[in-house]
Amino acid sequence: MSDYTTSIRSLIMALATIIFASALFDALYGFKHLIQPGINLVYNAIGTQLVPNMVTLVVFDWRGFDTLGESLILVTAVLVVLLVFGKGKILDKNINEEIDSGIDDEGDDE
Amino acid sequence: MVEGKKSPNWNKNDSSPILKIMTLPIAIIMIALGIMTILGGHITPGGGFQGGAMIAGAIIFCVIIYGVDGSPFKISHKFISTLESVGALAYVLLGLAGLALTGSFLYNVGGNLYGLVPPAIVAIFSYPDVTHSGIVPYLNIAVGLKVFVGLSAVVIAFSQFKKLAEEE
Repeated sequence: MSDYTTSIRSLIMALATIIFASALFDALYGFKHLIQPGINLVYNAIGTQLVPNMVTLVVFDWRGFDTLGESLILVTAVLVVLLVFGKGKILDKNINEEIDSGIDDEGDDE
Repeated sequence: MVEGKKSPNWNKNDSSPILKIMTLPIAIIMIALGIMTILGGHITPGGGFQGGAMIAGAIIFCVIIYGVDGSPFKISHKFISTLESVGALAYVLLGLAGLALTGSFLYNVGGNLYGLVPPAIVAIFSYPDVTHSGIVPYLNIAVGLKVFVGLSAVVIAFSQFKKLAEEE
Protein backbone atom coordinates (compact mmCIF):
# COMPACT_ATOMS: atom_id res chain seq x y z
CA MET A 1 0.00 0.00 0.00
CA SER A 2 1.43 3.33 -1.01
CA ASP A 3 1.85 6.30 1.27
CA TYR A 4 -0.66 8.26 -0.79
CA THR A 5 -3.48 5.79 -0.10
CA THR A 6 -2.57 5.63 3.57
CA SER A 7 -2.66 9.39 3.93
CA ILE A 8 -6.04 9.58 2.17
CA ARG A 9 -7.39 6.91 4.49
CA SER A 10 -6.05 8.69 7.54
CA LEU A 11 -7.72 11.90 6.37
CA ILE A 12 -11.08 10.15 5.91
CA MET A 13 -10.67 8.46 9.28
CA ALA A 14 -9.98 11.80 10.99
CA LEU A 15 -12.98 13.44 9.32
CA ALA A 16 -15.25 10.58 10.29
CA THR A 17 -14.01 10.73 13.87
CA ILE A 18 -14.64 14.47 14.03
CA ILE A 19 -18.18 14.08 12.65
CA PHE A 20 -18.97 11.20 14.99
CA ALA A 21 -17.53 13.00 18.04
CA SER A 22 -19.38 16.23 17.33
CA ALA A 23 -22.65 14.37 16.79
CA LEU A 24 -22.12 12.47 20.04
CA PHE A 25 -21.35 15.63 22.04
CA ASP A 26 -24.31 17.42 20.50
CA ALA A 27 -26.59 14.53 21.47
CA LEU A 28 -25.17 14.56 25.00
CA TYR A 29 -25.73 18.32 25.46
CA GLY A 30 -29.26 18.14 24.03
CA PHE A 31 -30.15 14.96 25.85
CA LYS A 32 -31.63 16.67 28.89
CA HIS A 33 -34.45 18.21 26.85
CA LEU A 34 -35.35 14.86 25.31
CA ILE A 35 -36.17 13.22 28.64
CA GLN A 36 -39.79 13.53 29.71
CA PRO A 37 -40.03 12.35 33.31
CA GLY A 38 -43.15 10.43 34.18
CA ILE A 39 -43.92 9.14 30.70
CA ASN A 40 -42.97 5.65 31.82
CA LEU A 41 -45.70 5.68 34.48
CA VAL A 42 -48.27 6.98 32.00
CA TYR A 43 -47.31 4.38 29.45
CA ASN A 44 -47.45 1.55 31.97
CA ALA A 45 -50.91 2.71 33.06
CA ILE A 46 -52.50 2.96 29.63
CA GLY A 47 -50.38 0.44 27.75
CA THR A 48 -51.89 -2.67 29.33
CA GLN A 49 -55.24 -2.00 27.70
CA LEU A 50 -53.41 -2.36 24.38
CA VAL A 51 -51.20 -5.39 25.12
CA PRO A 52 -52.14 -7.32 28.26
CA ASN A 53 -48.78 -9.08 28.47
CA MET A 54 -46.58 -6.55 30.25
CA VAL A 55 -43.29 -8.05 29.12
CA THR A 56 -44.30 -7.98 25.46
CA LEU A 57 -45.56 -4.43 25.92
CA VAL A 58 -42.17 -3.31 27.16
CA VAL A 59 -40.10 -5.40 24.77
CA PHE A 60 -41.98 -4.74 21.54
CA ASP A 61 -43.74 -1.44 22.05
CA TRP A 62 -42.06 0.67 24.71
CA ARG A 63 -38.55 -0.63 23.93
CA GLY A 64 -39.08 -1.68 20.32
CA PHE A 65 -35.93 -0.02 19.07
CA ASP A 66 -33.81 -1.98 21.56
CA THR A 67 -35.44 -5.22 20.40
CA LEU A 68 -34.42 -4.45 16.84
CA GLY A 69 -30.80 -4.15 17.96
CA GLU A 70 -31.12 -7.29 20.03
CA SER A 71 -32.28 -9.33 17.06
CA LEU A 72 -29.50 -7.86 14.94
CA ILE A 73 -27.04 -9.14 17.55
CA LEU A 74 -28.31 -12.66 16.78
CA VAL A 75 -27.77 -12.10 13.06
CA THR A 76 -24.26 -10.86 13.75
CA ALA A 77 -23.50 -13.89 15.91
CA VAL A 78 -24.63 -16.30 13.17
CA LEU A 79 -22.66 -14.34 10.57
CA VAL A 80 -19.49 -14.43 12.64
CA VAL A 81 -19.90 -18.15 13.32
CA LEU A 82 -20.28 -18.84 9.61
CA LEU A 83 -17.33 -16.60 8.76
CA VAL A 84 -14.95 -17.92 11.38
CA PHE A 85 -15.74 -21.62 11.28
CA GLY A 86 -17.06 -21.90 7.73
CA LYS A 87 -14.90 -20.00 5.32
CA GLY A 88 -11.69 -19.91 7.25
CA LYS A 89 -11.29 -23.59 8.02
CA ILE A 90 -13.48 -25.59 5.68
CA LEU A 91 -14.09 -23.88 2.39
CA ASP A 92 -10.58 -22.51 1.84
CA LYS A 93 -8.71 -25.37 0.20
CA ASN A 94 -5.25 -23.81 0.54
CA ILE A 95 -5.51 -23.47 4.28
CA ASN A 96 -6.79 -27.01 4.54
CA GLU A 97 -3.83 -28.32 2.59
CA GLU A 98 -1.43 -26.38 4.78
CA ILE A 99 -3.08 -27.75 7.87
CA ASP A 100 -3.07 -31.29 6.51
CA SER A 101 0.59 -31.14 5.50
CA GLY A 102 1.69 -29.34 8.66
CA ILE A 103 -0.22 -30.97 11.47
CA ASP A 104 -0.94 -34.50 10.37
CA ASP A 105 -0.47 -36.38 13.60
CA GLU A 106 -3.34 -34.52 15.25
CA GLY A 107 -6.37 -36.63 16.20
CA ASP A 108 -8.40 -36.72 12.99
CA ASP A 109 -11.49 -38.43 14.33
CA GLU A 110 -12.54 -35.49 16.46
CA MET B 1 -28.63 -42.60 -4.86
CA VAL B 2 -31.77 -43.26 -6.92
CA GLU B 3 -33.09 -45.64 -4.26
CA GLY B 4 -32.35 -43.04 -1.62
CA LYS B 5 -34.76 -40.64 -3.23
CA LYS B 6 -37.74 -42.96 -2.81
CA SER B 7 -37.80 -43.04 0.97
CA PRO B 8 -36.19 -40.58 3.36
CA ASN B 9 -32.91 -41.96 4.60
CA TRP B 10 -33.66 -41.59 8.28
CA ASN B 11 -31.98 -44.80 9.31
CA LYS B 12 -28.49 -43.99 8.10
CA ASN B 13 -26.89 -43.11 11.42
CA ASP B 14 -26.62 -45.11 14.59
CA SER B 15 -29.26 -43.47 16.74
CA SER B 16 -31.47 -45.58 18.94
CA PRO B 17 -34.73 -46.79 17.30
CA ILE B 18 -36.70 -45.36 20.22
CA LEU B 19 -35.28 -41.92 19.51
CA LYS B 20 -35.88 -42.30 15.78
CA ILE B 21 -39.53 -43.16 16.31
CA MET B 22 -40.28 -40.60 18.99
CA THR B 23 -38.38 -37.57 17.71
CA LEU B 24 -40.59 -36.66 14.77
CA PRO B 25 -43.94 -36.51 16.70
CA ILE B 26 -42.29 -34.64 19.56
CA ALA B 27 -40.74 -32.19 17.10
CA ILE B 28 -44.10 -31.59 15.42
CA ILE B 29 -45.70 -30.89 18.80
CA MET B 30 -42.84 -28.54 19.71
CA ILE B 31 -43.25 -26.64 16.45
CA ALA B 32 -46.99 -26.28 17.03
CA LEU B 33 -46.36 -25.07 20.57
CA GLY B 34 -43.81 -22.56 19.31
CA ILE B 35 -46.23 -21.19 16.72
CA MET B 36 -48.89 -20.90 19.43
CA THR B 37 -46.45 -19.03 21.66
CA ILE B 38 -45.58 -16.60 18.89
CA LEU B 39 -49.18 -15.93 17.87
CA GLY B 40 -50.32 -15.49 21.49
CA GLY B 41 -47.30 -13.45 22.45
CA HIS B 42 -49.21 -10.27 23.19
CA ILE B 43 -51.76 -11.94 25.49
CA THR B 44 -50.07 -14.91 27.14
CA PRO B 45 -46.57 -15.16 28.62
CA GLY B 46 -43.88 -15.68 26.03
CA GLY B 47 -43.35 -13.94 22.75
CA GLY B 48 -41.48 -14.00 19.48
CA PHE B 49 -38.09 -14.86 20.92
CA GLN B 50 -39.36 -17.70 23.08
CA GLY B 51 -41.55 -19.21 20.37
CA GLY B 52 -38.78 -18.98 17.81
CA ALA B 53 -36.42 -20.71 20.22
CA MET B 54 -39.00 -23.52 20.66
CA ILE B 55 -39.26 -24.09 16.89
CA ALA B 56 -35.49 -23.96 16.59
CA GLY B 57 -35.28 -26.53 19.39
CA ALA B 58 -37.47 -28.91 17.39
CA ILE B 59 -35.34 -28.44 14.28
CA ILE B 60 -32.13 -28.96 16.27
CA PHE B 61 -33.61 -32.09 17.87
CA CYS B 62 -34.32 -33.57 14.42
CA VAL B 63 -30.88 -32.60 13.10
CA ILE B 64 -29.15 -34.25 16.06
CA ILE B 65 -31.16 -37.48 15.92
CA TYR B 66 -31.57 -38.00 12.16
CA GLY B 67 -28.51 -36.13 10.92
CA VAL B 68 -28.49 -33.17 8.54
CA ASP B 69 -29.20 -35.21 5.39
CA GLY B 70 -31.93 -37.37 6.88
CA SER B 71 -33.77 -34.69 8.79
CA PRO B 72 -37.48 -34.48 7.91
CA PHE B 73 -37.30 -30.68 8.22
CA LYS B 74 -34.81 -29.84 5.52
CA ILE B 75 -33.71 -26.22 5.71
CA SER B 76 -31.65 -24.95 2.81
CA HIS B 77 -29.35 -21.95 2.82
CA LYS B 78 -31.71 -20.07 0.54
CA PHE B 79 -34.60 -20.68 2.94
CA ILE B 80 -32.47 -19.47 5.86
CA SER B 81 -31.38 -16.28 4.13
CA THR B 82 -34.89 -15.57 2.85
CA LEU B 83 -36.56 -15.92 6.25
CA GLU B 84 -33.83 -13.92 7.96
CA SER B 85 -34.21 -11.09 5.47
CA VAL B 86 -38.01 -11.18 5.61
CA GLY B 87 -37.98 -10.96 9.41
CA ALA B 88 -35.51 -8.08 9.55
CA LEU B 89 -37.21 -6.19 6.71
CA ALA B 90 -40.67 -6.59 8.24
CA TYR B 91 -39.45 -5.23 11.57
CA VAL B 92 -37.67 -2.26 9.98
CA LEU B 93 -40.56 -1.49 7.61
CA LEU B 94 -43.09 -1.50 10.47
CA GLY B 95 -40.78 0.88 12.31
CA LEU B 96 -40.47 3.08 9.23
CA ALA B 97 -44.26 3.20 8.89
CA GLY B 98 -44.41 4.77 12.33
CA LEU B 99 -41.59 7.13 11.41
CA ALA B 100 -43.31 8.23 8.21
CA LEU B 101 -46.76 8.68 9.74
CA THR B 102 -45.98 10.22 13.13
CA GLY B 103 -42.31 11.10 13.21
CA SER B 104 -41.20 8.60 15.84
CA PHE B 105 -39.60 5.30 14.86
CA LEU B 106 -41.60 2.17 15.80
CA TYR B 107 -44.67 4.10 16.90
CA ASN B 108 -47.53 1.62 17.39
CA VAL B 109 -49.49 2.63 14.30
CA GLY B 110 -52.23 0.05 14.81
CA GLY B 111 -52.69 0.63 18.52
CA ASN B 112 -52.53 4.42 18.28
CA LEU B 113 -52.35 5.19 22.02
CA TYR B 114 -51.62 8.88 21.50
CA GLY B 115 -54.12 9.38 18.69
CA LEU B 116 -51.60 10.68 16.17
CA VAL B 117 -52.75 8.60 13.19
CA PRO B 118 -56.03 8.93 11.26
CA PRO B 119 -58.45 6.00 11.72
CA ALA B 120 -58.22 4.85 8.09
CA ILE B 121 -54.52 4.04 8.53
CA VAL B 122 -55.13 2.52 11.96
CA ALA B 123 -57.55 0.05 10.36
CA ILE B 124 -54.80 -1.20 8.05
CA PHE B 125 -52.24 -1.94 10.77
CA SER B 126 -54.65 -3.06 13.47
CA TYR B 127 -54.46 -6.69 14.53
CA PRO B 128 -57.91 -8.37 14.30
CA ASP B 129 -58.21 -9.31 17.95
CA VAL B 130 -60.12 -8.37 21.09
CA THR B 131 -57.20 -6.38 22.42
CA HIS B 132 -56.48 -4.44 19.17
CA SER B 133 -52.81 -4.44 20.02
CA GLY B 134 -51.67 -2.93 16.73
CA ILE B 135 -48.31 -3.86 15.29
CA VAL B 136 -47.07 -5.79 18.33
CA PRO B 137 -48.17 -9.26 17.03
CA TYR B 138 -46.58 -8.52 13.66
CA LEU B 139 -43.31 -7.61 15.38
CA ASN B 140 -43.64 -10.84 17.36
CA ILE B 141 -43.94 -12.86 14.15
CA ALA B 142 -40.96 -11.07 12.56
CA VAL B 143 -38.72 -11.66 15.58
CA GLY B 144 -39.95 -15.26 15.84
CA LEU B 145 -38.93 -15.96 12.24
CA LYS B 146 -35.52 -14.39 12.80
CA VAL B 147 -34.81 -16.28 16.01
CA PHE B 148 -36.01 -19.62 14.61
CA VAL B 149 -33.83 -19.31 11.54
CA GLY B 150 -30.85 -17.87 13.36
CA LEU B 151 -30.66 -20.50 16.08
CA SER B 152 -31.15 -23.42 13.69
CA ALA B 153 -28.61 -22.00 11.24
CA VAL B 154 -25.81 -22.25 13.80
CA VAL B 155 -26.51 -25.91 14.60
CA ILE B 156 -26.98 -26.87 10.93
CA ALA B 157 -23.73 -25.10 10.06
CA PHE B 158 -21.83 -26.92 12.79
CA SER B 159 -23.25 -30.30 11.71
CA GLN B 160 -22.21 -29.68 8.13
CA PHE B 161 -18.72 -28.62 9.25
CA LYS B 162 -18.36 -31.91 11.09
CA LYS B 163 -19.43 -33.83 7.99
CA LEU B 164 -17.04 -31.85 5.78
CA ALA B 165 -14.19 -32.39 8.21
CA GLU B 166 -14.77 -36.14 8.14
CA GLU B 167 -14.73 -36.15 4.35
CA GLU B 168 -11.41 -34.34 4.13
